[in-house]
Amino acid sequence: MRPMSTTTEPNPIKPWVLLLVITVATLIGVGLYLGLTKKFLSTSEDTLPAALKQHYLIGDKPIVGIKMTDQWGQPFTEARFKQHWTFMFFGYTQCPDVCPTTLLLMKQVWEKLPVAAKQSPTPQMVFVSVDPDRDTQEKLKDYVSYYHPDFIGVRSNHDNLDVLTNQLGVLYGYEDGSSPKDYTVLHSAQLVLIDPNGSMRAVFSPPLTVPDIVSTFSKIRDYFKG
Amino acid sequence: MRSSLSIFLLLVSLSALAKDILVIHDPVIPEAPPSVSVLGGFMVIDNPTDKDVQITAISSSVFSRVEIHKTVMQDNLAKMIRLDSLVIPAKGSVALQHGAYHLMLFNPKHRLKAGDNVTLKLKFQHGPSQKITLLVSPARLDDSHSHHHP
Repeated sequence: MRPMSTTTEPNPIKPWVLLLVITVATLIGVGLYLGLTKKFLSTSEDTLPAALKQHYLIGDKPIVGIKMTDQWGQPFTEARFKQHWTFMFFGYTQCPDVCPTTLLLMKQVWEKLPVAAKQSPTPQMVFVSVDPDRDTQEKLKDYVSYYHPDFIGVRSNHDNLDVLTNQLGVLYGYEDGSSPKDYTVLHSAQLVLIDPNGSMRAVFSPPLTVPDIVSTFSKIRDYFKG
Repeated sequence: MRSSLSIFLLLVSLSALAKDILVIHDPVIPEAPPSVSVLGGFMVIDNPTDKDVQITAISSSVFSRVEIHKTVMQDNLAKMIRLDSLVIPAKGSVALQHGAYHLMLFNPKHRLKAGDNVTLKLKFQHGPSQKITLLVSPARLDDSHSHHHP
């Protein structure tokens, strides 16, 4: 045993001291990191007005890879989000209950937005079909323009539809109806809000009400502007 | 407007009460865009009798098929369930309204516009069938504030 300890004698810094220093330094580093992160996070949440906590999404995650078409046959890509606040709802035209109700709600939100909330970046209302096999471009045009001439209807093949729904966390599926043509569609009923930089910024979940969406949207605009 | 309409429809329903089992309030079909081939039917159905009444089928000369559906909202996912029948409890009532029970009216023979009337025939498990008339109404939110324009 003795010879072992004598070999370490000449070294002025004992290994356990070195280990202690490294450990302490690491702990300080981790502590500092956690402290800063926590401070940063709590700052973001603290400055978020209470009215927005239920809806507002913190952090940027721009939506990418969108290859869809609007009711006029024009390309609908993520470029269409730029300089707009985009309200987006997912549904299908042969839907007798939830979709008409939501489109009427979108129409009322549109009509009731105060002038300030309609300034640039201007809001836009987008209905995305999750039933592209039955919802042709023509049907989509007829459908959205019935609710409002300024509304946008969007469709694509299933693969490109999934590129969008996956990034937004929107779900949809199909269930057999009483005849093969009359299958029903189940779909997320939230209204999604995309900011002018193309990131999902808020989600409105049912039950949706016009006053809530109008006032929350105005607050989101103000907060986002900073 | 809406209440006078309901009173009118109620009177119409009452006048036909002689044989009818169920009392129907506010039977409406919201107008839909022209390309839509499935419409919704909404109303409140009262059963003033002492026995449950089971609606087993609904037919109409205007639609290829009529079904009873229920909208179910689960984790923000909207889903429709087809029902084989609908029971109106004795001395009770069932509301066919947005977000709940509703009729699915398939493939109208012609475009239905606000102001049109459509007759449906309710068939019951027991007893004679009952005819009801639905009014096609302008599409609007149930929300009572919806028609106040500044």
